[in-house]
Amino acid sequence: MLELKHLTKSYPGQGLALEDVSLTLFPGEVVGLLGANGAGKTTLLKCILGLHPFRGEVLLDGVPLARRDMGRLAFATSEHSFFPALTAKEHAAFYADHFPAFRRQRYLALMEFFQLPEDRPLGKLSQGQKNQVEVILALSQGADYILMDEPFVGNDLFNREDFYKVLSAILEPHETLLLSTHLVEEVAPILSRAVLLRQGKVVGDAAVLDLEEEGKDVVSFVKEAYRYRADRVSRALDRLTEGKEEDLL
Amino acid sequence: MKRRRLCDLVPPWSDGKVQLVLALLCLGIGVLSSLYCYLSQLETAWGGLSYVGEQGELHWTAMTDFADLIGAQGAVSNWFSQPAFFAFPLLILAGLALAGYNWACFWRGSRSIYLMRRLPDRWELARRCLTIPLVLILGAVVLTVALLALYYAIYLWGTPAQCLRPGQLEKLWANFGYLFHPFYHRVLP
Repeated sequence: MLELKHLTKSYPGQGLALEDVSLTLFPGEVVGLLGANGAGKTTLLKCILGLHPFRGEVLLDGVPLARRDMGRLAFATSEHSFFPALTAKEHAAFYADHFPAFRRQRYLALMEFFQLPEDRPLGKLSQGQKNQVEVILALSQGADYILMDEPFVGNDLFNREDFYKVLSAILEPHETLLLSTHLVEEVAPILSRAVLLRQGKVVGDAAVLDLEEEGKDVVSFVKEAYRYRADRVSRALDRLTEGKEEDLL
Repeated sequence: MKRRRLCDLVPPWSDGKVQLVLALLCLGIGVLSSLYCYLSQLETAWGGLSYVGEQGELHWTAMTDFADLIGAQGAVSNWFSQPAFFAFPLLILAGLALAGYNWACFWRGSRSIYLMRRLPDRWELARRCLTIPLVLILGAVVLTVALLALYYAIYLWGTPAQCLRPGQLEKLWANFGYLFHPFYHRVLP
């Protein structure tokens, strides 16, 4: 169980990026961390991983997350955390060296599934392929909690759909996925829970099954929590059109 | 304890052997240039120690002070303006620059710094960034001290006793003190 207790993060001169965020992730969950750009999704993931200083606590199975336990958390980011000059094969060796639970079979199967070259430096791959390797390494690390930050930016739709299918198929009951994305509609089918961030605060947290019982889906839940006004665009267009008509008159 | 290979002591994309050989080569060149410069200066100083007088008698002059010979004219930092020790501060700077470069490379082309900072071994990043730079920096410091001792031994061994001025070490220590002189000057009225 990964618990975040009262996480608060501020950037100098920019105010609060996260405000008193408390969240518990249970084994086997696929959690969508949803929210608009700048809502604090990336910051939250980086705080969990200790990449940013913050106030509050991150507990792993009831005890503060220590460096020696960091191998139980994996991270895939659209910024990419691999070494561009190394090949996928060299990364696999590096991961195996540092993460004893590294899952070589899963790594090989995913590399083969996505037909990725093992002997080419990752910096020379296409953006989509880089994303794929980044995600494959995170999934193969052997971690219990896999954190992903917009991992599919730059991948085409078919590719993304392949990944969603793979994700929902390969994750084991003890593996938890925290997936930060704004592609809400796409990821909705694989989520078991949706957490919504807005301006650094958790403004919604619901299990997908509960939503379904209420006759809602993740997308409507997000729109509701964000107080999305469906007529916003038509009203804006009306105003623009009126302006033009007045000019013509 | 985990047995480490040379490739575990440099950034993952670097060749540890190449970095180490280059560092040792730089230190070697520093030593050779220092020896060449000091021995040349010493030979010149020794060459002027005696002269033959008008009646054919042999006269001895005083030997240049050791502190002056190595360039410690008023401050230890002056040693490095003399060719004998010129290379070593440059090697220390090169070591610092290499450490910075190694670290900066984890930010270039991707954010591999994120991976390094979440490895279970908290020293992995520091080990890979700092080992070779530390070899260079510590090597330069140790060689400076060792060569200083060696040069002093050669100085004492090769200079005729009647040409030696007394208090050579005191003059050397006095020059050490000069390094901190501006500080004392500010603190003490």
